[in-house]
Amino acid sequence: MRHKSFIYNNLVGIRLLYRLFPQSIILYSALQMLHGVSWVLQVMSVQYFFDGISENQGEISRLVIKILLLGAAYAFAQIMNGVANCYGQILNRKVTKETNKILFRTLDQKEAIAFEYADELDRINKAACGCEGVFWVSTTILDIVFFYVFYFVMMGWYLFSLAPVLSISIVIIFIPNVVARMLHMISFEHLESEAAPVRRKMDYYADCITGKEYYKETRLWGCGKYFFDRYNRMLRKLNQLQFHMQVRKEKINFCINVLTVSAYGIIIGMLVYYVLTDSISVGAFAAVFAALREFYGFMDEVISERLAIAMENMATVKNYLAFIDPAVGEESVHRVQKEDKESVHHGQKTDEEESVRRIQKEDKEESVHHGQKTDEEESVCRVQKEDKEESVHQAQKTDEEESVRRYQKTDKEEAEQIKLPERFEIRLEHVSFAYPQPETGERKYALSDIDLLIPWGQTVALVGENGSGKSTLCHIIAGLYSPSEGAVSYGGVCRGGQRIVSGISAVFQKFCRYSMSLGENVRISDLEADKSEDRLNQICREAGVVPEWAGGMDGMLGREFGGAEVSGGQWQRIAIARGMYRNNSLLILDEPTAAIDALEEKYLYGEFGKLSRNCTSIIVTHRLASAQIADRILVMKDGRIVQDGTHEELVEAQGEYKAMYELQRQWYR
Amino acid sequence: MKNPEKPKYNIYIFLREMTGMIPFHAGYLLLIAVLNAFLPTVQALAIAEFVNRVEGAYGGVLEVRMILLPLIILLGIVIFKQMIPSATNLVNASAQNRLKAVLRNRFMRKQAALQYRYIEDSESCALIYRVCHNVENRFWTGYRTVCNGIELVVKCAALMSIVMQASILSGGAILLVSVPLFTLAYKTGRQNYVLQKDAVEVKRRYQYLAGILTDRDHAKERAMFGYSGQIAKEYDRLSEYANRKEAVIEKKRYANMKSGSLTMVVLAVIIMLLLLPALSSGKLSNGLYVGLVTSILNLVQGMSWNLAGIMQGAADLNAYLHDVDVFLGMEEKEDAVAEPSRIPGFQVETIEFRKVSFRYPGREEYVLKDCSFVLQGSKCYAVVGKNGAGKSTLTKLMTGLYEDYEGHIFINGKDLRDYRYGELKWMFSVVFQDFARYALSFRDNILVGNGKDENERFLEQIIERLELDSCVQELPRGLDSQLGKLEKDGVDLSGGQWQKLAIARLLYSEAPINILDEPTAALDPRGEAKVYEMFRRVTMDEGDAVEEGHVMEEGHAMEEECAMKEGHAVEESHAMEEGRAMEEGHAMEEGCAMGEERAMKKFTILITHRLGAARMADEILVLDQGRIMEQGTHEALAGLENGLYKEMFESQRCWYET
Repeated sequence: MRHKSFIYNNLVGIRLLYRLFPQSIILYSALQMLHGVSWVLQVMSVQYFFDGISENQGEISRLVIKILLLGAAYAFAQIMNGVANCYGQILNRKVTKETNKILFRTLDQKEAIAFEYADELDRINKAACGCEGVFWVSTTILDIVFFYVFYFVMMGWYLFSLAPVLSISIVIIFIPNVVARMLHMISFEHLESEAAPVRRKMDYYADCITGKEYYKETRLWGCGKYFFDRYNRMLRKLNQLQFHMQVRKEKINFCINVLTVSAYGIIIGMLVYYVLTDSISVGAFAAVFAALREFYGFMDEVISERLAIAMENMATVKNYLAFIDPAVGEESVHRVQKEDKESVHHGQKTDEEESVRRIQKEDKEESVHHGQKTDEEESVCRVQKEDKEESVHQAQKTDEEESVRRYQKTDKEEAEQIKLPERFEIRLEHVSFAYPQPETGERKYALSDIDLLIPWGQTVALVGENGSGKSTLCHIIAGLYSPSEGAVSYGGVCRGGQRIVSGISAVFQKFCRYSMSLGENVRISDLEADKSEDRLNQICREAGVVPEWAGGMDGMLGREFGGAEVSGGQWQRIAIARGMYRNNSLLILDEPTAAIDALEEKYLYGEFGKLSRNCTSIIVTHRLASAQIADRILVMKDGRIVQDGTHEELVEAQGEYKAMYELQRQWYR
Repeated sequence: MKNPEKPKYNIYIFLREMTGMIPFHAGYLLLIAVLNAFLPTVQALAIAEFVNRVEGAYGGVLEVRMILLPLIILLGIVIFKQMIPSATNLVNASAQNRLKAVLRNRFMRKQAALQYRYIEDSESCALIYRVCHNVENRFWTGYRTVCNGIELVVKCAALMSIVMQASILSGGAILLVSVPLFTLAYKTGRQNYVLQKDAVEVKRRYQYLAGILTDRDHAKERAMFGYSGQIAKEYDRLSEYANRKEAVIEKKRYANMKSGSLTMVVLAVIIMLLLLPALSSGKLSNGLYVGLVTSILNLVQGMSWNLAGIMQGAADLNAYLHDVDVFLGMEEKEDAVAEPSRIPGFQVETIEFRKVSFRYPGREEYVLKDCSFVLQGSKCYAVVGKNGAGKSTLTKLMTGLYEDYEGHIFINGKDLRDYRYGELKWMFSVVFQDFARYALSFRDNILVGNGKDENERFLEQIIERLELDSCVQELPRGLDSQLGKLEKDGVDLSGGQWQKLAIARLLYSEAPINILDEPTAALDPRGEAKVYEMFRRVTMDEGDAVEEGHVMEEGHAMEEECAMKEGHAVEESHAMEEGRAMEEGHAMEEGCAMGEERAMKKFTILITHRLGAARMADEILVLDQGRIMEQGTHEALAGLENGLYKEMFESQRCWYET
């Protein structure tokens, strides 16, 4: 089972690599093959030289030539070793870059909710880990076929030419090693899994003593000794386990080694026999004897290093291969190929020509793969095409085809992305939402049965306790989450599973702090837009962002790359500027002032008042009083909207809002 | 600061310590290294013997027993090479186990005793991590590198000695050629890390971008702002650039390494050529020549990787030892790991800051500048101020985490520096904003650090009063349920529950001084109010209420106080809660009686930026620009014209004016 899936995944990996860089992969294989040949040449040259010594009586000049040949063979082997490995390293980087890009694109297709599922998140993390390993794991089979197998076959042939029986020695040496590997795999997996939790605990207790998170408290409570005791208990247990494991391993190794040594003995015996019976020269004996270790070394390397490591890492690579959307993978493969060829052959072609070619190519590919492609894949390809391409594309087709295609295309494009009109109302009908909970079968609704109409231009405040569903509702309105039940529509456009590409902007509670320049930190919300410098400056001014914090718009922020460190409040303002920078008709502010002090908060709420004039806006807040800047207040409780009205209305009415308001008000009497 | 007499941690001390810690293992490894070093020589001699005897028998009859001895030796070599690694593996495991037990404890003790400033300094942290992460492995690998080096040298020397025996002339010539070629090989193998820096920097950049494109933290903004495509382009550009740079480096690296091996090949060829005259003149037998060449060629094969490996290993060991030296030289806090030691009869009278100035290590600007104030033991205090005004720094100074401040801090008139650290630990208990969530049982989370004597009743009362009892009941094994994800059956609490647990830890402690350092950041205002209420109820009232004769009904002190002051009835919305409070009253009284000796009057400092919470303190200190700008009761401060407190308070209050 395991081996089968190993080989299968390996092949999938190779196919991916081949599609990304066909020439490079062929070159790589060729280099490995030459590398394998070079090692055999070494052995042959040694024998040739040794035979020369035995036969030669006093004639130096011929020996000199043989020595030089030998030197050349060795030098060749060294060079091939270097070139093949070096090329592998370089190619690895190229491949990793592309595999990463494919991952990014796949992730980009995911809905934001995917990151809330523990399982899905796990898959994503594993896939991300797998990115790096794709090359090494996938080339394992290539290496085995082109280097190791080649080497062994050549050596076998060489030994066969010396004496046919000798070629058996290859098999003799192989067997114990393979057996050993199998045994190891069978008997150590469970021991390893036994040790893992102990190690985890040990590490945790160490962290309790020395980790940043715990350091000051462990010190002040004076409970270091407590954790030291626990740590040492785990350490002893782990040591025992590991030593026990090692002893078992070595017991098996010992048996294997006895086998190996016997195999050696047999081979040497055969060699001696042939020398004694004069069927091989003593030079051949010395050469083969010298090569035996190397021979064995390769065997060991291929089985216990290459294969073992590949198997270990296969899991992550498998995750990666399974994770990446085949469509995205394929599409980027095309892209890379095109880029490759374009850069090599057609660097100077005009854009138009290029795009024509590109389309022809894609068509060809399509006709080839059409059978396998699913609709989804197609639509992905479609959507990513540029408009220009589209027109050229259409021009090339017959009318009939064209109309069909165009129809399909617009249809699909719509299915994928939504562009919102400039002004729209938001309507939620019977919206319910449950976060995925795989383990407990019961679905717990974060939102249940919400009906809501937000007319264009209204400022709405969402209030309620932690966990009442405010943020979830925001995410649904923002189009980040799809409702489990019910429908959301914007100005009559109903959203299914598609992505909204314009018209909505947001400042999230956990906004991001990008270690980029100040300007980039703001512009990142709308990178495709081509807005003037003035606009950027104006927005920063409005949000109270002072370029001097970073030493100018191009000044770096964040510690990561040695940028300026700004305070939480300053980050908050930058995040708000970011939200404003994106063209929006709907602005969502999710608890924008959680991290800042009173004065700063007052300032910002003043700003929000101004901000929300030209668009629809939704503000989530804990500070009930600050909800007063809103035209309308929605009070949420347990996933439902329990009250809806203006501040004045709600204060008059008995209910949740009033209770909360009074509670807070007391503090400020 | 640093003890100047302390010898630098260098290779000699390293070796001495290794032989001290694991004499047997270290000796074994060295022995194997030396034996290994002689193998090529022995093999050369054995092959020589074999070849000579076979050739000598040409024409005559060759019998097996004639070549038995060299054959046995050859087989012996095979057995040695094949079997020894198993034994070595065992020694490896055992050595690392032993080193782990010794070194990890030693280094962790050091780590636990460090001055706190190192922990907050990212550079020191990185160094500590480098030193302490897998320390046993680093030490053992280092020692192996040393042995490998010795092996290589002995190996070459042993081979050389046979050559010399055979022909001094050739041997001398070989030495002459070897030295420069060997040096060349060594040098080219060494220059590896020059160009790297630029590429590394760019690499960090694009890896950061990769993080933005894949991780969870950025998921929402990524989807919202749709920047994946653009950022991926930037990623592509940067990684292309870095790849190109690294390809150059890689090529150079391999070129260096392989030119090193090519040099070795040339050397081998030269040696073979130089030995030819001796061969033809018969000084060197055919067999010995073949044997020598076999061994030399083997050496060449291994040399390129081996030499590079040893060079790399030596460089790593060197850098590591330097790190260790710096680490061991780090200053320790006296009594850092001491357990809290009780001061009998201690009562807080005053805490005074006198002209305290402080800046974080490596920073220019002062967080506190000439900060002076006096706190009376009979009152409860709140410290407010803008973000970054230095509120939390006060805690860190008082609790002795940082001690290189200027000025003085007095507790009951005695300088803080004159208290033993254990006493300070006993004196303070703190709930930090980022309080620790230990993955222990619920019970142990409260008991941890609070001595051994467990007072079950008192514990239960605290849990009850913090309204954690329902939470405990829901846990699978009650108080003994494991929290966190360390154990399989571990459960996690919500943010609010953890917060309460942290406060329970503080309440259970017998420390006379409590500091709450923004403990409610994770809660919403309502949850926050609840926590403060409860806190007030269980700490201040016990003392204050009795002392000041405010016989309050119990619970909801804050609310009632407000209600009384304002003459405004809010009972309506709280009638229910009041009812519950009454019930609690009973438990409370019992608690007071029970935990009398423990629940002594606690002196409390609240640090917060939520002004509403601050007013429940008797006095409020306003921290700004590194000093206390205002100090007084809420009423006094709220009345202060142009006062910062007033401004801050008004900014929040104005929303609530109807």
